[in-house]
Amino acid sequence: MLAFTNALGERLLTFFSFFGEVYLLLVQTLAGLFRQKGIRRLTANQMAQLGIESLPIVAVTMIFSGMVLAYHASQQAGKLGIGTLVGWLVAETMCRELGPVLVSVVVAARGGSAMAAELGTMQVTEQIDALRAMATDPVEYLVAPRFLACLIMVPILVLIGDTLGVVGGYLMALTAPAINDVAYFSEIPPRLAEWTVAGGVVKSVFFGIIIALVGCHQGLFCRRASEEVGRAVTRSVVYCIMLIYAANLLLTAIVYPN
Amino acid sequence: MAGESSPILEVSGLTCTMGGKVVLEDISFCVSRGEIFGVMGVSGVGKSTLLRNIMGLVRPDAGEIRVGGTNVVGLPEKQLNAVRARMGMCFQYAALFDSMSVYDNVAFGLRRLGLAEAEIAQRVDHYLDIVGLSGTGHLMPSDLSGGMRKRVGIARALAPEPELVLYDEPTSGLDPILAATIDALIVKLRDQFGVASVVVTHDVDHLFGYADRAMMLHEGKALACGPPEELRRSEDPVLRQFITGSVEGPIQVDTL
Repeated sequence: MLAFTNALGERLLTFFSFFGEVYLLLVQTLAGLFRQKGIRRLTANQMAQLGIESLPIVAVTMIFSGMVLAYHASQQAGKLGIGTLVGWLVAETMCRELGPVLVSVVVAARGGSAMAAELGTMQVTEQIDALRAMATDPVEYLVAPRFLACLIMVPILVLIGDTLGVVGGYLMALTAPAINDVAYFSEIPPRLAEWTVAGGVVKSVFFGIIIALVGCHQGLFCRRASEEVGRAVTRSVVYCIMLIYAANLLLTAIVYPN
Repeated sequence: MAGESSPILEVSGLTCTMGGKVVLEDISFCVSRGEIFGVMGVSGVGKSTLLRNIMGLVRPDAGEIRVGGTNVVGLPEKQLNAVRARMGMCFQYAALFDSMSVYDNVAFGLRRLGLAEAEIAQRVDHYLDIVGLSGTGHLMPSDLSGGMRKRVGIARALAPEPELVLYDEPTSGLDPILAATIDALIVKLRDQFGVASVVVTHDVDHLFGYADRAMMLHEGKALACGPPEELRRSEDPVLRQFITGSVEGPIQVDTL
């Protein structure tokens, strides 16, 4: 029984200290945004890297999701006689939910894990210490540009993903007789509210913050052994995905109130 | 700012625990400007931890570390950076920045100083030349051998021209000729530019050839400290065993 409570207590401590550390990292990063000289160049590099790394998998994920969504819709559309509205249905679903969440999860798996791997390796090989020894704050130099890059790139990738999802749905519409492919695109503009698109983008800004902070935190707090880098990478993806799902529920209720 | 005659480094009563284990206990010594100070001891005795304490990378549990008169213990990171700018550190495994070329690695500290790019280029060339690596600026760390990485690490630490350089095993893994070159470089920096050095090593023979003074760490404590000839004459069994490198003696090594 004592062992159980001890183990439980230890888990709880780890849980709370994780949030404490991430919060502190956020505060240091925000302060670092204004102190780091040359942050524009560093951020541009990170944005390019994140975009190039993530775009292929974002494209594949969203095109296929759009196609599957349209396929399911085609089965119902014939029965309900709403074959003209499938384009709008796909667009609405993409912009509200699938775009922000799927793209963020994919970026966490591709870009967030890469941050954990890079910073973790730097920690293990004493490069972080070398930075500090050369009077350079690792949070300002490494985390702040990645934070900004995620903050900007994740919403951009979400908008690209939303669009590709709708295009994927159209590809399915061309082959499914129950969907009116001529009305597919034309029914979207009058029905899709601007805020529906913007709301998803707002959510994705927060998901971007989660990806950068958790990825960098796992890298910076990596213990000094090469096998720890792998663990840090796995943890960064698991924690990111869980936090994105939890944050999504809260943000959805705030962004799209009843 | 302290005067020229005051020591560049003063360590007093330094105690440091890592993971519940006392690694350094009540260590005191000082290093004058333009002095080469050696730190010896068996592997895992806390020599690297000592350097990391001096650089402010690890916070000690007790004691004072004064660099040029400023106590770095408990100093906020920002003020610590001003002190760190006066020091250079050569890491045991070089710790080169993987994502940057050799040139950018050596230029890193110079860019932080805000020097003009032309002067940076000149200094990078100069320091790469000093460590015998002219013309390697365009290579990436992954293209280099262990010994080359180490020498780039030394060039990187020296390029901003610090007053105090901390070397962690500067010659381990180098061939005898390169090792002698690095030793000669440390001496040259002292003789020509008055640079003080703290050299952590277990290569006693080399160290005694050029160090002004040396300290032997044993089980976390400073066992002996003094000029090489004094340490050589010492009757202390631990020191004798270490200097002569014999298997028999008070230092027990777990054998297979």
